[in-house]
Amino acid sequence: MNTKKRLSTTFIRKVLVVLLIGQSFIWYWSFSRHNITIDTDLEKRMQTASAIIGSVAAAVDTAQGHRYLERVMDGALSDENIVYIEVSRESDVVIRRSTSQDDPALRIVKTPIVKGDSEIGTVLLKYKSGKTDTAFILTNLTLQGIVFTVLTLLIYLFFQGHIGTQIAKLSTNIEKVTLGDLTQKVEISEDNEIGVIAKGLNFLIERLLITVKKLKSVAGNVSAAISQLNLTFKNVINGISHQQRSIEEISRAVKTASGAQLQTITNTEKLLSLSNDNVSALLEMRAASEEIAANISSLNRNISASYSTLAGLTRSAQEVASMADNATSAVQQASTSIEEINASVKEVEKTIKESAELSHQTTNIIAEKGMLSVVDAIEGMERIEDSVNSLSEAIKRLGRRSRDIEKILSVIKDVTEQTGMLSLNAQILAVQAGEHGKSFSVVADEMRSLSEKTAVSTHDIAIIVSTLQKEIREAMESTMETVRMVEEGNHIVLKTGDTLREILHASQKSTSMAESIERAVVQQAKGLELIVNAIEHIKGMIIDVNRTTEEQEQGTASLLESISSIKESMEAARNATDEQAESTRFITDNIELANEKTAEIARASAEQQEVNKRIIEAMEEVMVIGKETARNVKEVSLFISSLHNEVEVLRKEVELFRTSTA
Amino acid sequence: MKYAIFEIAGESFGIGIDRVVEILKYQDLHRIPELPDFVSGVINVRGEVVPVIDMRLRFGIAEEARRHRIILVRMEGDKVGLVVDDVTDIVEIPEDGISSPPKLFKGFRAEFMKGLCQGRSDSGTGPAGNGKVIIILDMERILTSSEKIMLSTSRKKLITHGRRRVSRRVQEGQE
Repeated sequence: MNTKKRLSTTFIRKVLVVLLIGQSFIWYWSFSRHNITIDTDLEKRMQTASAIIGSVAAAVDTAQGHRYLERVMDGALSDENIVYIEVSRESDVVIRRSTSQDDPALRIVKTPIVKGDSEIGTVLLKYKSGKTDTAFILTNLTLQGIVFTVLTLLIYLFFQGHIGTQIAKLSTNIEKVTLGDLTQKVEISEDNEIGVIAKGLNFLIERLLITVKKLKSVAGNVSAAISQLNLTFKNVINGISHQQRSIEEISRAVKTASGAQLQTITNTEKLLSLSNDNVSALLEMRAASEEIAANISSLNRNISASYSTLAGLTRSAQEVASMADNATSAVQQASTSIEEINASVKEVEKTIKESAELSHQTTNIIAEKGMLSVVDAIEGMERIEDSVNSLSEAIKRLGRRSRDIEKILSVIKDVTEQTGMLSLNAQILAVQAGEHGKSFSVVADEMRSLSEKTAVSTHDIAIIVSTLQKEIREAMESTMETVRMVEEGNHIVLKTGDTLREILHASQKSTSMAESIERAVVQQAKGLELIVNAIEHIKGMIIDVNRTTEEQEQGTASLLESISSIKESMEAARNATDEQAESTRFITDNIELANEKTAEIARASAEQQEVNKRIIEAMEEVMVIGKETARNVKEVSLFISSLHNEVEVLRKEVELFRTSTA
Repeated sequence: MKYAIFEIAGESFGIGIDRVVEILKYQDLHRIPELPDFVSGVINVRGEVVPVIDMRLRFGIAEEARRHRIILVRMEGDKVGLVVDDVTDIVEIPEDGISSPPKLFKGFRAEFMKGLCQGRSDSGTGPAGNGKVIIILDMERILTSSEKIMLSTSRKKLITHGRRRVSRRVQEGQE
């Protein structure tokens, strides 16, 4: 220990300071008394000198007397205190001065010069105050210094010799203990207060040694526990970030699914509008078919009429010889009818061409766009299925992760309990260590509050994790429902494809029918040409009718033959037209069915979209909860690392103590 | 004075902290034939064999309940373990806050008690305990004087004849 800080030294120093102050006071008092005496003496002397000069000035006024006055004044100036003398009378002024007259500290004595009863002038005398008696001061100081030194030596010898040594021994021991060496023992066996202090100190050191050993082991345990806790928390944080990533993956998958769904909806809408186009085209076709049917039946009627006319003509031909004029008009009538038929057939031909064109167009629409849409829809559904499957997989992974977190939480609970017990032990040790344990007691309290906080946080996390698990279960249920819906949608799309194929088949059949009708109509037209030619022939024959009836009969027979061939053609056309109309109705029905199915798909897709939205919402909720969990865990981690720091500080402090002599 | 507060069957008890050495996790007790009846077994505390008294059995409370902690106390200069349900807190209770006990309190005999103390409700400023009454135990009266003698005799026997054997058995038990 520093000599300056020793108790005995401090005491001696304080006594000496008191002594010094007392001596200084005494010295100052005697010095000021001495000065006052000197000043009073000087003033009296100056007044006397001034009075002498005044009386001399009053007595003399001759020239000789004047010189005498000057001598007296010079004599006075030889006094080392007087610096300036002025004698001012009514007749003259005499001034004598030494060199340092302008000194401002000069004192002045004024004395009137009195001659008889009247005042004839004044004597002005300036002087400086007397010099301090340095010999007196030096003697005084030396004496006091000697007394002070002797006293100092005496006091020092007394304190340092006896009490100081023992206190120094005691303080050296305490100093070593303070530096952390607990192996010290104070060896003072005296029976006074210092002996008692030494015994007490030995007892305290022993106790402290035991406590510090315990503290060391406790601090080691706590440190290990906290390291474990730290490790565990790192695992938790890893788990949570895994979870977060899984959730993001799910979100992405759901969004992809949603996009595919939207495409499906768009495709379905396209398909619907196409179907509507189909329906209108088919309705048009149906109208055309019906028109054709009407035209063909009117044609039939005309042909029947012409047939009966021809039959009549044949009958008349028997009597043509006698009724040649009638025959001419009949042929005219037949020609008109044939022209009518021709016009009808032309119209039929045009309508049938239109119908064939429409049927072809329908087939194309169904084959290209319809089937393409269905293929798109199937692909979309497959993509949705894939997305939903990966979503369900990711949710299952999430469930597993949350179970991992549960395991980790149980470890944290164990560690928290252990920390709480350790903090109780630390408190016990702190209390038993008494005054020395106070700082440790603060650390123990801190540890305890931290362990309580950790317990609360762990409980919170457990609640959050169970909420999370519930949400994940819900998400899983939603996903299962989605899977079911996707399967249903797939089924519907496949069914739609089948229906469309049926429609295509029917449409192709209808096209081939229309083509055969067209061919029939062409044949019919050819037949009509034959008829026209025949009529021309008839005309020629009628011109020659009068010439030869046999020839006429022959012509009539050939005419009948032609007409019957037309009739056959017409029958075929009628059958074909009927079949076409039926096909068209069948197509219309199918397309309406397809429409219905498509609408069903649209409804299912919208429903599925709703489910997707719910999943996305649930996922976002899960993500928010996950973030909250992460934040809580980080907070706990922060608590724990601060606990760790505290314990490290404690450990370092404990390490400073030397507990064995080795 | 500070007291360690522990719980048995939902009741709070306090013992002076000056008697407490350490609080340990519950570990399985090793039963040894030389021990008197009121000692439930021994445990190994860092190489030291310490007899343990189950406080539930001592208070005559049914055995079904989990025991969490062992409080190591100094009794007659030696260490003895007390098995309790849980150690909840360490609190300061002034001497004037302890009232003298009735003859029987909630089925606990007064012979073990030093006094009762009103625990603090959560908002209060007194000792902890959620407003429950804390039974302050008198450590000197936990064992009767004859039991103390039996304990010290069996301890000596353990030390002189059976220490090596017991330590070995305790270690084997731990392994």
